[in-house]
Order: sequence, then structure tokens, then C-alpha cells
Amino acid sequence: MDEIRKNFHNDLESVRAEVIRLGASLTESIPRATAVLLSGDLEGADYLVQADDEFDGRSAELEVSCFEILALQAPVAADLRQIVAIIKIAGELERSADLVVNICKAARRIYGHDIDPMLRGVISKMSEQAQKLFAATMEAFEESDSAKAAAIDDMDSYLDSLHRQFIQQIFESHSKSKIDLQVAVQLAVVARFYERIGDHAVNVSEKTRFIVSGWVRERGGIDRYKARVGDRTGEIFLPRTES
Amino acid sequence: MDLIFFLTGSAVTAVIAFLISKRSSKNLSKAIQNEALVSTSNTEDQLESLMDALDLLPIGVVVVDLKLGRKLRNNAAAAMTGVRYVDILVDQAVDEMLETIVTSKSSERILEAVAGTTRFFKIRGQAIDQQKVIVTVEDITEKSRIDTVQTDFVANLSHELKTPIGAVAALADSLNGETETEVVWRLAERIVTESHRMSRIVDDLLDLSRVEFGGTEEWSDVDLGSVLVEAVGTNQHAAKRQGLGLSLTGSAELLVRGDRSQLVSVISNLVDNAIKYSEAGGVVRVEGMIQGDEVVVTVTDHGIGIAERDQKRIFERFYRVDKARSRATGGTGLGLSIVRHIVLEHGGSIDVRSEEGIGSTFMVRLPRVTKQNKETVLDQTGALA
Repeated sequence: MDEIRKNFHNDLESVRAEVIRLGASLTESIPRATAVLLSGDLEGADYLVQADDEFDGRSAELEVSCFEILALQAPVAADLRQIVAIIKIAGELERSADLVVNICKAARRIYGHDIDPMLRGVISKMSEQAQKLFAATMEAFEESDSAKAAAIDDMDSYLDSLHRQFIQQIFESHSKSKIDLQVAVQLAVVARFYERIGDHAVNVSEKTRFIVSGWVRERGGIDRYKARVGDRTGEIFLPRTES
Repeated sequence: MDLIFFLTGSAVTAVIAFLISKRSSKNLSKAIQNEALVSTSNTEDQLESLMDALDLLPIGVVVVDLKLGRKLRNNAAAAMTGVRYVDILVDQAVDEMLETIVTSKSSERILEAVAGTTRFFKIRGQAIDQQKVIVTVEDITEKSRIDTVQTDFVANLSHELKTPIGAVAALADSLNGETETEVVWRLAERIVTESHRMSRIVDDLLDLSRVEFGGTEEWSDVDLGSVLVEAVGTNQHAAKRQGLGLSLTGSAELLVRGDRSQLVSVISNLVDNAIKYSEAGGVVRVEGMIQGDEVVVTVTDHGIGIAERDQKRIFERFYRVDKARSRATGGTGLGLSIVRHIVLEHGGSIDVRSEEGIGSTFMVRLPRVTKQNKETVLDQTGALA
């Protein structure tokens, strides 16, 4: 390693390590939150809600470390991609941890109500899949494995289908009067939280692909916009003259 | 210049010896290099064999030299669990421990991490000297599981027996001095019910200890087919009352060696559970088949199912998934642990596959008696005689 850049590379390595650690905490918190929800464990819910403050603090510190590297070391090429991606990943992880907290808060709201076994089964499956997604996503980041990162999107479609199946199941349980309206609404929201966690995992894996190869997702919206108004990239800041 | 810093004691002695004998400087530098190489490889050899030994330990060991910033870890510490994110969390806990060791000389904490099931790790840090620290990581999941089972057993046993005893005492107290016949009759009835409950628990406990310490003297070749017929027959009425279908399919020659009445109680217990936790309109299926050297019996229901975290614990004495529900169905909380003990005693195994809301399948595997191994048994008996 180039001696002059040694500090820089150490800094880069330590922000990477912190991303991996935050990812591990998050992955582990998903089944915890599910256990809290399914067993009505209020103490466990409080623990996870409080633990989120630490998570927020750590991800904010991670961002600051990245800004410092940008300002002091002026990274280029792959190093620059790495730092920019980590700033975004920090946000994704922080948001996912908030969703885990939201699951715990929902557990508090439905405390004392029974959950239909059929729904419990699907909740367990969604939790397992969300956890698998994040575990695989973080492994892809750690190993800079672009192929594994690309597979996350497909894994997420199973979680999406579980989400749809769950909503259908809520309707059925509700029509058989097996479930309160209040609980039904809370559970529908909970299912959405798992589904969103999966989406954040996909976002993180896209950032991994960006780090490795500079890949960016095709942006359908931008293409449609350009087709509508004509591609005026470069003209946008030029003064318009009436002819 | 750098080389001098790496010289060990013996190399320095060699330098001094050479200086005294005033040999040529060329020879001197060669000798220094040789000596340095030998001592470096000695230290490396020692370190390597030490690491080999550490790698064989089942606990994770991390030795850190704070001054040099060097960290050595054995295999167990490098991959404690095989689950990457849990390994990272363990690693993080080790690093946090290192920070605390700088201020306090030794420290200990328990890390809890969920990977499928909850796992527990005891992390202990100890300062060796001013600069070196050793941290050990021990997976204590199994140990804490056994602790929980033991405390739960004592707590449950006292609770299960205390409830009916308390009820009997209170009922008898009310009975004392009661003159109205109808009230006396009702109280007496309740006393009988509670006494039966106590006696059922004690019977089950005795059964369990008999199985646990039981011998194999009364064993004979048992046709498991007839065992299935008997077990299903005794539960037919209960199934009907609950609006459930009860089906039995089996192949011929399901021969095993064991205690017939115990085997009937295994299947009967499983069928009884399947009925209890099913809703009207469902079907409980009992199936017996041969798979290689084993006779396999499955009992399948489409009931409420068992959550994954409970599946490992349902075979414990008095463990209940849903306390309110099991009490309402009149269980003693000992059924499945008796079942498991009998099956294990017969050299078999029992597994459960279940999904909440979908149903459960209990699968019992018992070693099959074939003509061939029957002859071997006879031969051995002959030889003994």
C-alpha cells in the first residue's frame, strides 16, 4: 500500500467496517422485533426502541466520517464511489432500523389481542425473508460481490409476494370475524414495514453494485421526462433568446 | 538499521561475541543475519504451534498487543457461529471489551444474539500486562438452555401441583360446616375433579421416571400396525366429538422391538394432541410406513401449528406453548416429554415439522425388526445360553 495514502486507506477501511457492523446489528434486530410482536413482549419492545437511538447516533457519526474523508482526502474513482455510496447506505440502514422500531411500536398497540395463527405464520415468513435479504445484502457489500448484490432484487420479489398474501389473509380473517378491525389495520401496516425493509436492502445492494462497477439503476422516470420535453441537457442554464 | 530492532537476545549475544573476537565486518554481518533468521524462525515456530493448539479450543481466544496494535485470534474466535452477522456482532463485543479492559483489569459480559434461535455468548476480558490483553468468547447457549429447563421444571411442577392442592384445601374448608346438601354435593364433586387432576400429574410423572430408568426386560417383537389401530381406536370418539375426521393408513409388517403398551401410549398421545389442537372440520392423518431400516409413523393435523421458537421446547416437561389453552384442554404438560423418552428408549427419534396456521406433523422413527436381524438376535441368545 502506498505509504502516503496509508491514513486515508485506514479511514476508508474503518468506515467500511462500521457499515458492516451497523448492518449486522440491523439484521439481528429483525427477528428480535418479530419475536416481540408475536409474543407481546413489551419489555423487549422498549429495549429495541431505545437501542435505536444508539443506531441513529452511530449512522450519523458514520456520515460525518465520510464527509471528513471527502473534505480532507479528496478521494477519486473507486474510492470516491465508495464514500458517496456509504453516505447513502448509512441513510438506508438508519431508515430500516426505524422500520424495525415501528414494528415494536405496533406490537405495543396490539398488545393483549390474539393474532390468528395463519397470520402469525406469514409474519414469521416475512421476517425470515427480510432478515435473509439483509444478511445477503451485507455479505455482498463486505465481499464487494456485484453478482450477489444483483440477486437481491429477485429475492425481494418473494417478500413482496408474501406481503400481498398477508394482506389477502387479513381480509379473510376479518371477514370470518377472527380479527378486530384495529388489529387488522395495525398488522397491515406491520406487513408494509417488512416489505419496506426488503426495499431498503435492495437499495443497499444497488449501492454495492455502484461501488464495484459504477452501475446505476435505469431511471424510467428521467427517460420519460426527457422524451416529453426533449433532451436539453446542457441547455438548461443558457439564457433563452426569443427569435 | 531496521534489522537491529528485530534482533533477539541471542543474536545480540552473537554480535558481542563477534565484536570481541574482532572478526572481519563482512563475516560479522553474515553471522548476524544467520542468527537473526534462526531465532525468528524459532519464535515463529513456537507461535505457530501455539496457534495450532489454540485453534483446537472450542472457545474463542483473542490476544491483543495494544502497543503494536496486533490482534491474534484462534479459529473459534474468527468464526464463532458460522452466521456472518452474528460473528460480526461477537467481534464488535470483543472490541468493546478491549476498550473497557484499558481502564479496568478484567471484565465480563453476556452477549445475546438472535440467529434463528437466541444464542448467548460469555465474553471475558483480562489484562495480561500493561500492553497485552486476552479476551475469550464462549458459546453458552446450551448451558443457559439447560438452566432454563431446570428452573422452569421446578417452577412448573410446584405450580401444577400447588393449584389443585390449594383448590382442594379451599373447597374442604368451605365444606366444613356446610349443611345444604346441594352445596356439599357440588363442593365434593369439585374436590374429586381436582384430586383426579393431581393424581393424573403424579401418574404421568411416575410414568416418565419409569421410562427414564426403565429396563428392556419386557420387550418383545411388536407389530406397530396393530399399535396404530389400537391408538387410533381409543381416540375415535374424541375426534368425532370435536367434528374431526381421523384416518389411518399403514403397510403390513411394521415390526419393531419394544414395550407394546408404551408404544400405544406414544401414538395415542400424539393423536390426542393432534385432535386437541385442531378445529372442527379438519382431518387428523396417521400413517405408518417402512423407510429402509426404519418404521416411520407420522401424525399430521391441520390445526393451529407451533411457532418455530416453541418447537424445540415442546418436549420438555411442563412446557406449554399457550398456557391458557392447554389448561382448558386438560393436559398435564407431560405428554410429549413421555413420548420423547419412550421413543429414545426404543432407539428411535421424534421430530416435529410445523407452521403456524397450517398445521403440524410429528414423525416417529423406530428401528425396524427384519428377518435377518431377528436371526442375529436369536444367534446371540443361543451363544449366551
